[in-house]
Amino acid sequence: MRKLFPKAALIEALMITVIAAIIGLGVNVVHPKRVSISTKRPPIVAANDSVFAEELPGVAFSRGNNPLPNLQERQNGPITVNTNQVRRLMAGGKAIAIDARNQDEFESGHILGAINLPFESISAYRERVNSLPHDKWLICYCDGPPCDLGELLASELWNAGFSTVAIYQEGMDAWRKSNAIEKGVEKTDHAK
Amino acid sequence: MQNKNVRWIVLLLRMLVGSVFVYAAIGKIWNPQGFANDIDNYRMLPYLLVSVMATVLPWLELLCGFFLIFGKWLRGSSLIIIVMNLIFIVAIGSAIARGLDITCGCFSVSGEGTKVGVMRLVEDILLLGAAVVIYLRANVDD
Repeated sequence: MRKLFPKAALIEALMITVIAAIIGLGVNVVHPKRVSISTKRPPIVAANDSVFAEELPGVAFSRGNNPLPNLQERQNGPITVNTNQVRRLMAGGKAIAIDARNQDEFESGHILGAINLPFESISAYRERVNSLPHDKWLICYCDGPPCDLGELLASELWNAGFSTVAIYQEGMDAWRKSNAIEKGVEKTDHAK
Repeated sequence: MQNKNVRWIVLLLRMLVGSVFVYAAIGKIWNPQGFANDIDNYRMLPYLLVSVMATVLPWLELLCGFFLIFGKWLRGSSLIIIVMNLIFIVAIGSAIARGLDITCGCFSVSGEGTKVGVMRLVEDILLLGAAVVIYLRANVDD
């Protein structure tokens, strides 16, 4: 009776896999969009304050009729921002805070002026995503570590073509603490 | 005559499945980091495996696709495609069960592709069935 998995078939499969691995790993060394082979996810580039200059260089993407930037001119991905940067950008009207948590969590308290785009059901919010501006920073956040919904949402927006995407990793936990300490800053908006 | 019909059917399946996998591989080879992000979104594997898969899997798809089309190493390539489809089915099924709203990463990367869903699952099951037929026929012929 013929074997279901003869040795020759397994050897063929192994050889194909080895060839693919050699090619794949070899090409990855020189690929402009190479993957970092690592146990840790690639670090997200933290924003320097100079990124948020008055004129927000790199934000004006009006080139003829094409509102999106040239792919080669984009950064490598979303950047991280801290509480002070979020506060300055929101106060200056240069950013939109986007809450990646679900609706209940959003309504229990969010950054004033933030909009809700629950990452786990984002397909239901396509119109809201499509209406996001390309000339403001989109600051994605959730509760703070270990919650990574903000990071996932930022990645989704980046992949959808938005270039000015930031992640407020410290999230609502840090925002609430900062509001407790300072006066005159944007307060958490609580649902009535 | 019946044998001849079976040969034509298997040839058709080889062309179909081979083309699908070549097409699927191209976008991922073009943007491996985007593909790594798609795999990572499933939240099933440690990042080391994610990065290795993103680097190797597209080339595996491309090679197997070409081998199916050109009729070389059919048992090995169809066997690999069977295993890959089983993995995809488990991954997509898991994502659906967990309610993840993520891009499939099947044919396009980085948010350009379609979302995981039942249709993607059905497509992978059909591809799995076709690959099994190709493998069994190749096993008989050899």
